[in-house]
Amino acid sequence: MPIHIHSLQIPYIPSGHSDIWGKEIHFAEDQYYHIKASSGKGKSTFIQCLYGVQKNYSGELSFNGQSVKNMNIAERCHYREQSVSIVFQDLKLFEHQTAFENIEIKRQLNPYHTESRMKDMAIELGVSEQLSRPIDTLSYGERQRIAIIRALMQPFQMLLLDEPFSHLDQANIQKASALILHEVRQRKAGIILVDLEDDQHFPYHEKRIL
Amino acid sequence: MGMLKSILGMASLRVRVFTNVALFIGFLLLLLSVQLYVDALQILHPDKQKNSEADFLVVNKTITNDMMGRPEASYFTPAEIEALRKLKGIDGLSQITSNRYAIEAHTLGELAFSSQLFFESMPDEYLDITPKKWTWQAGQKNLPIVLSADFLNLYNFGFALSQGLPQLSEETIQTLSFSVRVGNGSASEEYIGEVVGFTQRYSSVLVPQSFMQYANQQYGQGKSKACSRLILQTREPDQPELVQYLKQHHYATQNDKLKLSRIRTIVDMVFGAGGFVALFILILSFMVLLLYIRLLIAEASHKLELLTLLGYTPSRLQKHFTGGSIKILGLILIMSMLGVAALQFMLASTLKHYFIELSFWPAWQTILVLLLVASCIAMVLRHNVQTVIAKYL
Repeated sequence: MPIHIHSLQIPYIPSGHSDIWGKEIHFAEDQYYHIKASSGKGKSTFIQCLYGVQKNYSGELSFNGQSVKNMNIAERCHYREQSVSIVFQDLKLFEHQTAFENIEIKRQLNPYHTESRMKDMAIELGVSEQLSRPIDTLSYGERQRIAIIRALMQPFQMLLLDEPFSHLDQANIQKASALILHEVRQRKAGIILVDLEDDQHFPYHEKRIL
Repeated sequence: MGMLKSILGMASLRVRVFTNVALFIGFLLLLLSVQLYVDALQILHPDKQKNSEADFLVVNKTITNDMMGRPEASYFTPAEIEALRKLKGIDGLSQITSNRYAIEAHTLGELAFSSQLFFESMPDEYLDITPKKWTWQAGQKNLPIVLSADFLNLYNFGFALSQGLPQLSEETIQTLSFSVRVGNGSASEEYIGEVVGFTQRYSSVLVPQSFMQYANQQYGQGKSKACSRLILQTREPDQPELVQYLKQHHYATQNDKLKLSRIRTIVDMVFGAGGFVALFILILSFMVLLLYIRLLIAEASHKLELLTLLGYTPSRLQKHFTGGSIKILGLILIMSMLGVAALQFMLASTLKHYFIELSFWPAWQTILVLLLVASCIAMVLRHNVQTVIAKYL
């Protein structure tokens, strides 16, 4: 039972008929959750709460019983290195570094995969040619795939995905979701995906509306 | 760490060279001023190094016109003696006992002469020499006497030469004996005076303490008088507080011993100023280094924010910024220590030609200052950088 929320509330986001805000929910590891929301409902805010970036909320949010908000610096770093991984909506890549460096900086922190496995993933998602190029020379779709590979470089119990496929075509979405599913199953981990629309990318156990 | 380097970049070579050279100069100057200060003290106090005897100051009240005709004014009161005993740096204090009976010396070998004398005595441990026959017991006819070497010099060079009298060596005088009459008229005794040694420390005629007590009791007139001369035992006759105290209370003593006090005050000031300048340079160059690192951090703030989002800890990131500096700091320490050691060796070798003894090795105080300052710098650097980075988390 890694993530538990209770009466979570953000001051400037009205809870309305939300399935999330103000409710009590357990996000179990090895379960896949889809959270749908239209713009402005706080999708990214919610994901950032879970990742320990956004702390301006009331209510409870805990990981394995420990309050995420109250983690000290070392615990928070350990949380991001070991327990949760993320694909940010705005990707958060180093613009002037190459795609390879962007993935490698994450991989070196807490290696779950070898460098050659990382390159295999790049081949699988069709971005192996792009590895040696700086991020600011890549298309947004290519960057999205680099960010996905980066998120898969570490161990985790929960994978947070914030509109991860927004700039990918159907063929690439299929390849990417297959890779993610494979990796998540290998770790017996869970997925929390937030998106604008309903989708069937993963065999979801639960769907909610933010 | 290689990946961090390529993402966060490195400090410019020019700035690194500048700050490191400045740090080196600062360290070298600081260590030199500490080392030279220790050297100067060592030269001013050669006995300290050999751990040998302390200095002895004979203190008396300055005789002023006002005091003439009032001998009691020149005696030390018990309160004054206590106050002196309690002064900082005073290891021992003794009173000098004087005779309260008449003394007349006469008949030196075959030479008949007659002269009034005075005797003084003090505990043996305050003497600078230990003559062989320096004991006296009741009934003993031989009276050992220690003369001031100054008296012999006065006679040999002042008196004998001008009067056409023979000059006498210390050995000669020690083979001669003369008669000493102690006491008045019928109540007097004859002794055979023998000079058994010469003292450089006291301008006096000294007899053993046991004789002085006996004779004062036997022939002494009047009550036992207070003491007008004191001996202070101290390892630092030149410490400014003592000199100041003696001056304030109008006490007089051997001035040559106190002259060192002024030299030492000057030495303190010169090296104090030198150390201050060195410390100033050191702090300044350290500030430049620290500010430069903080500038690098500010420039990389966006990247640092991202790295902490990925799970990099502030302490790990701090190592990237300070790791190189701390390694170079270590190198600077070794270099400045070697520099000081080389200079000290050269200085000691040079001074040896002038018969000034100086250690060939840097003093432990220098090494202590080095380690203290270096660990302070390393700690401040690490802590400061880590605190700045933690803000991004």
